[in-house]
Amino acid sequence: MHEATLLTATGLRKAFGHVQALRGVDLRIHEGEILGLIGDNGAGKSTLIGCLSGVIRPDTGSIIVDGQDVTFEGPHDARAHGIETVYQDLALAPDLEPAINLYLGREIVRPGILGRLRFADRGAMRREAATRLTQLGIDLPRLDRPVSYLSGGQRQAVAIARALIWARRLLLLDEPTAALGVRQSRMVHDVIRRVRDQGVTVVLISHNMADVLALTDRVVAMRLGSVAATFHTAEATADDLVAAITGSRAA
Amino acid sequence: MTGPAVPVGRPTATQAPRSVRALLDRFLIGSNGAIFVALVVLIVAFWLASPNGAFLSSLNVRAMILAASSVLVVAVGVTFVLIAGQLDLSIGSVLVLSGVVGIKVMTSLVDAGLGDAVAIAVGCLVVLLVGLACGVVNGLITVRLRIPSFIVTLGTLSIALGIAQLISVGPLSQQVPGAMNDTIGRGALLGIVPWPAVIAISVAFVGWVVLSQTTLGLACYAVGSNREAARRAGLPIGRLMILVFAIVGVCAGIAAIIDMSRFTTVSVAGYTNTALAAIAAVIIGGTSLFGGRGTITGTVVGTSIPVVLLSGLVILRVDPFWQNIVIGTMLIVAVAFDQLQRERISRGLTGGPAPEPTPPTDPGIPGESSAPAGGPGPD
Repeated sequence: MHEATLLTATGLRKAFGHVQALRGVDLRIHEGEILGLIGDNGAGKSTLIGCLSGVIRPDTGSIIVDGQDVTFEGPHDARAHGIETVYQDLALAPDLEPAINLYLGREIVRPGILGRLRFADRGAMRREAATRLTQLGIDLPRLDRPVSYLSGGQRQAVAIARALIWARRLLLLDEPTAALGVRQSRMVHDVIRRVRDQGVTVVLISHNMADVLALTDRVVAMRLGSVAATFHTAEATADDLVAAITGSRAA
Repeated sequence: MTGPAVPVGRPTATQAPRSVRALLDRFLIGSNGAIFVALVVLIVAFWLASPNGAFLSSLNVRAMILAASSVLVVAVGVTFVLIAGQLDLSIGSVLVLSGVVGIKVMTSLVDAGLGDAVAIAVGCLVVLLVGLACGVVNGLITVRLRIPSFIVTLGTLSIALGIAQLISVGPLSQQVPGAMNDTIGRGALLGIVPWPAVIAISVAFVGWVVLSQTTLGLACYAVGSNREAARRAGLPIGRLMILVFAIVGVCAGIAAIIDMSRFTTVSVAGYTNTALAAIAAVIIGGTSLFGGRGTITGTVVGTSIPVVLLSGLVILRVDPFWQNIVIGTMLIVAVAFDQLQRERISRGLTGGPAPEPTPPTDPGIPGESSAPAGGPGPD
């Protein structure tokens, strides 16, 4: 699997006050792979994802996408490069309907002069959302009610759908199944594979070693804010991964 | 149209009367619907109880509309602020400050020999600019210093009032040019609709359009609903905050123009309760104190209720102090209702017409690899 590099992060450092969340992380993401990102709580996984998605600005270090040095000023910059993120805590606006959530920050506007005045086209967003959700095999009972009326699984589906709709190059998933049951998790896994098959690269944070081994092509283990080890999943066992996370054995 | 896999328990008849039902749902979501019914009941009751139906005489209706106009303008601004998850307690002081400055400018210009028309026009512009400036200051402090707007505006409430008091001490006249009272204050569009009402209705309409039809409105709801989600969606949170405070500042300025025109002056001590009364009216109208929810239509209703109550009680010769008691009670009930609804939703007991399908189905999650999920979703 010697594939082209999609994204390279070099020497990423980030401190929150006295806490060194990232102590110089080097990471290479290959085009078209599913990369697992594992590590104990506080190992820096979410901070790393935050840097890649533009939500967190690293103190030092560089991120290169498609051979081009990028500086993400905010989430919109990462998005402009086709990078989308599903967060642990979903990050939906509960008082807005699913369609609006899918298009938040990228609303469809009315045609003509009203569009110039930034009049939102709710009807178009609902229709588009319905089509996209159906394409993804996601069936919501109602699209015209606020997200707060949906169950946890349904909300997760909306959050994932939003990322899937927009992700052209890279999809970052921060424990997407943490809040889900076994059955729902399996369905999310199916979607992840489907997305990869469509040519989108995926980075998956998970605490579940079985999931990581089943889904990923490569695994990066983080410990205390830096990369502790990198594995080809086919050659690794759950014990190897756990050892790398805890630092009990050099891998 | 829908495949055979329609979950049991979902009423099959939902397709046809869907729009009616959706409309009804939307109406009852938030305390909007209930409060509208309450307003209608009040109006009808006062009409029937008043001698000769005097409550709905054109004279009294006109009086009520006039009384509601400046409060409504302020309340429209407050609706934006609350929906965006912020509070503005300084509105009353901003109103007074902008009014006092405006009167200063007008009297100076008149003294300088410029005509009334010029003085009024320039003065009104200054009033709006002062309101705008106060709003921007509130927004900037809230955003830059990351202080809760509740505290920021509690501070500016005092500061703006102090400045107004300093300015209003002096030899100059405290009155607007008489022409302003004759035209805007007491005139009427086509001789029927008083100008203050025209202004207030226009402000409410513009507010409704912006909030319910534009992406800016959606952004306000998003920020108030989940600030972090809005930030991650790439919305410019800081600029949005400053903008909503600017909006409420300009609204305070417009309300000042209305009151200056009607009463020929701005009473420096007369607006201590304005912010709280406006917030109460907006919340009674179904806007959430916690952000993310609310409508301008609700605000129109919420603003009308105190006015209708006061007028009705006076006509019925009931002690008008009852108005305060009733409004206070309604405020608490409205918030309790909002909270109850949030709790019901978060527990999943929405009582909505779409019950969860039978346990083994996971409705929200992508269908199992082979099974195509139902038909295309409705609409």
